[in-house]
Amino acid sequence: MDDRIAISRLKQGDLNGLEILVDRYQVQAVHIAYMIVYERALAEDVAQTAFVKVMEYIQQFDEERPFAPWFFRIVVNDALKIATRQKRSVSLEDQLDEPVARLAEWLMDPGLKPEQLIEQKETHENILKAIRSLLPEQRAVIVMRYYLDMSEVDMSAKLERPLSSIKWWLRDARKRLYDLMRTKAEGE
Amino acid sequence: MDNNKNIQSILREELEKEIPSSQIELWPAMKASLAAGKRPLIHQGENMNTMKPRRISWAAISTLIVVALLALAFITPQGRSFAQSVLQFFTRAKQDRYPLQTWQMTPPVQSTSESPFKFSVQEAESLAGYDVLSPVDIPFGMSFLGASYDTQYHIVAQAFGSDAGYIELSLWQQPLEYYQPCGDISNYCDNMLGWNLVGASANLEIVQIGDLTGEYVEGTWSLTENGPVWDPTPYVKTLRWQTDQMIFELVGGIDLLDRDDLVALASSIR
Repeated sequence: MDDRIAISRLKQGDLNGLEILVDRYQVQAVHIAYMIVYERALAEDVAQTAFVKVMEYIQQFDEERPFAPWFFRIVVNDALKIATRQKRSVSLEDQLDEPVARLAEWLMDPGLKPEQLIEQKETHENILKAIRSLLPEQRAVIVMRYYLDMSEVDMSAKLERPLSSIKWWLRDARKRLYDLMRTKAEGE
Repeated sequence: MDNNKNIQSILREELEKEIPSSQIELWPAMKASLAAGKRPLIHQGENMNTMKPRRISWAAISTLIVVALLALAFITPQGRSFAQSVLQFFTRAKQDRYPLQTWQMTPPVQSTSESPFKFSVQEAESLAGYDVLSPVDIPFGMSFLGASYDTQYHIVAQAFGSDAGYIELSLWQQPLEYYQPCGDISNYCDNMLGWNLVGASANLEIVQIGDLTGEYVEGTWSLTENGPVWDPTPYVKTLRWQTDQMIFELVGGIDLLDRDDLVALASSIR
């Protein structure tokens, strides 16, 4: 059953429609939220709350529009609200060891010898740590850029921010990692 | 495979290790909550302070009791009448549906198509001659679109929203000395803050904004060809409150903002 049929059912008050959407999108929703709030229980709460919002606002949703981008925007925004209120930032000075620094370099410039980094086990182990070290808004941008594979133009439309802002966030996220990496390198 | 795909693949792999898909099963808990008539789970931020037991002050308890009594008061017709008498900022209409009004048949001609939100905050402030307050954190995904100033009613409004110009949030403020309610629905009224009438069935909530009390409502008047009809749509959310000098109204028009978001925004204005 495609999304439109599930949404149509939900609009008629049939909770099976919601169950289908939950079943289809729950994993991505929890993973996206986790990359922003970095706490599993909270990530699951965010995902569930987002599904409840879907139920509450489904009558206003245009079935001709794709469901996933609309839904993931709710997840990203809700996770961001929580992450911002938590002010749960990680001190990079404590976290940034050499593998993370290399990964940071890659995130700054993904064109930089990716094949070498991809083969390294540390890259895999540290990627979540590297993202966690960013500010919540920067995490959201990285999530949308890399996890949801949205183009900068798509992200601009979904976040309703000008393209220049999205680019600025990406650049700022990379610069922050780069600056901290340099601080770490100079300290050694 | 390009680099973004590589990163995406690593991310998915690592997330799968961290939270395996097989362990994510949201529906049973959601179904149980929905069956019990509860809104499942968090009201954002709710479970973040579980580490520190908080001391509840007598002031907070008193406020809770007052809010509970007010909530109770709305349940019965007598209570509604009582509740209306204690409403400070909104006025409840006698009904939800009215016949076609005279002023609907002669809508005012728009003098210009130019957006009224053409000023910076500083410009609006200098025109108004009072401090214009703004939320400290604009919601994610929104930007400041501009401010307007109404010379007749001394109202400054600020618009926030998408850069395409679609307004998703607005903040209105007016010195109390100029505040004047529009009154009955039969009166034509272009005084945006004076228009404080809500439908008879409107679900008004008393909320706490720092030390101040505010009133929150979801819905708006829909001007149909048969007359004004109160539409309790959750798509239009309005929060009103006042200080000793100024009356404020926040109007949210998108599903990404809820009551608590508006209250948080109202608490943050400086």
